[in-house]
Amino acid sequence: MAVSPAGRQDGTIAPLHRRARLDLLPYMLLAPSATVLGLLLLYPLGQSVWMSFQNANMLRPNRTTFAGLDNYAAVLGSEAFLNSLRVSLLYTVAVVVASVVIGTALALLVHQKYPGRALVRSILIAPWVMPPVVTAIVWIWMYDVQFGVFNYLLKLTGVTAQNLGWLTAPGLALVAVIIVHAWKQIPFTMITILAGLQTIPDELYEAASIDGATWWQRFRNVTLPGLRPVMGMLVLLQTIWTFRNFAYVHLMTGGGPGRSTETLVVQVYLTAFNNFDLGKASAIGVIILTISLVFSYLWMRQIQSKAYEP
Amino acid sequence: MSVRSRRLWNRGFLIAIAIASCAIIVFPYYWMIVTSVQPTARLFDYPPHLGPVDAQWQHYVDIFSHRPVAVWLWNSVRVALATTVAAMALGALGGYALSRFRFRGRGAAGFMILVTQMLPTTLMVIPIYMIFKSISMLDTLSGLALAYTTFALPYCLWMMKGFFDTIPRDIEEAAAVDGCSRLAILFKVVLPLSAPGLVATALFSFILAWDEYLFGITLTRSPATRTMAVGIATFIGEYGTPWDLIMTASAIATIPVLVMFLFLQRYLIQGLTAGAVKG
Repeated sequence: MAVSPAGRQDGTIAPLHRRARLDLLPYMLLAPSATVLGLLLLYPLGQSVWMSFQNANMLRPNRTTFAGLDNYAAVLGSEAFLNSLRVSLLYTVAVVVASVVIGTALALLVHQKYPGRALVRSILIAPWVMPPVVTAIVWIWMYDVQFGVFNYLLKLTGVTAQNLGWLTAPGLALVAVIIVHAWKQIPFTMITILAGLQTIPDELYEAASIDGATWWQRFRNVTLPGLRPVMGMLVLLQTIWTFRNFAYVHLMTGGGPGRSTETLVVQVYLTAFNNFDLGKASAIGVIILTISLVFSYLWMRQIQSKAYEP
Repeated sequence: MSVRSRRLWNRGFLIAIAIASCAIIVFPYYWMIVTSVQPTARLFDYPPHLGPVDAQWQHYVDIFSHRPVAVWLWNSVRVALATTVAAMALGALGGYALSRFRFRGRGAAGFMILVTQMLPTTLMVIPIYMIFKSISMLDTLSGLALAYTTFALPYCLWMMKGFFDTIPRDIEEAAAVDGCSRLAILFKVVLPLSAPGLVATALFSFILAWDEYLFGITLTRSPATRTMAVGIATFIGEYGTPWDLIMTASAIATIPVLVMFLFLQRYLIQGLTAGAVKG
């Protein structure tokens, strides 16, 4: 490695002055960011955690009393919470699986060589750009029971015989929102997997072909293992993002019909703004965060325990 | 079948699948545009017209008098630009520090950034609302910009750090040997080299601010401070929804980010994947 006055072995830069004093520059560079994040992320988070241990009503802010673990006990024992937990898990798993599978398929499609594939890639990224509010409202229109084009196309192609209540039927509403969210996530999955595909050396495929491997065998034994590092990070990010996502459910169904689409984050919102119970809402929020943290920890241990090098 | 014709078949097959996939994925956009150019009288024709019939641009004129869309647009532009500038500035400075300097707390930074991705927005909205209330920043665009900068910042720091990591230290060391102060190195040497990272960060922040709506509806009250996202959200659940006008407003809300994205997608993809692949 080069020996130079400023560069250290690990790539960082030593202070240029020979005085033995605390190097202030990095702290100064980070101070504005740290201030903003501290005041508007950490502090509110701390307040929320504190609030979860209080009896707090939004309409009567001066009558807040200490509640200990009462909120948590009430929440964890309630039917509504268990329902929301189930809905959140179903929702997250479905969206992540769908977007990863379809995203991988599309990444493979874009990875092949044929004329116009750059254009194809650009077009396939389109869902990512649509603002969530626009996405929700366009799909609400498409899902309209009587005049929606979705039902029309389904009947045209013979998949169904009658109009389906996509956002009005308890069984279908969750599926409807899952489709929308998965649609929105596909570009990110596709691009990430595509980048991963590009790191797999061609020689591995050639060697497999020489050995007589079919397309499926090449996929299973060269592509999938090669994608493992990327997949690990991708699934982690997609999971924590989907788990905390609020927009699509809130805008399209509001948690209904019944409670069939009431995810945990929607329940936080309803508890705070419909029931005005800030203590309980904060408790649910803290539980959501805890689940995410635990999952992330377990997942990262899982993906780091196996060797990456093929 | 000869090798050559099989290859042509394969290629044709791929192109067919590519076209079908594109058509399916992009259909909601298509439907949004078709509805927006449909005359109101034709809107509820059954069966619905899959292609535009009697297409007209009238709605794009009417929408501005039907709702204060011009106000919404202008608000969105201002908030998004302010967020972009702030997030880029703070992100570039902080990202540089994270990339180049060894100091206590450096390792925890990456983990903290991951944690910020887990924070449920519905949990954060109430305390943030109360903070803004106490500093009288409710119902202001600068308040929104501040909130959006906060959410964009972790990601911007991470992206900028990733980009700075790819710039060799030799260049900075050479400049140092030539007598440049460290701040001068940052501004005159490193930043110009990390232009793709800056573009990606800017684009990401702009889109985040443009799209965001939960804090928009919570932190603002009066119609004068509504952004496009908040304005369109007011259409939802409205009695007798004017779908043609809604789709027009939606198209207007989408086109700016779509155009930006088309021109700058290369940088954004670089930025997105820099972290995920190198991990």
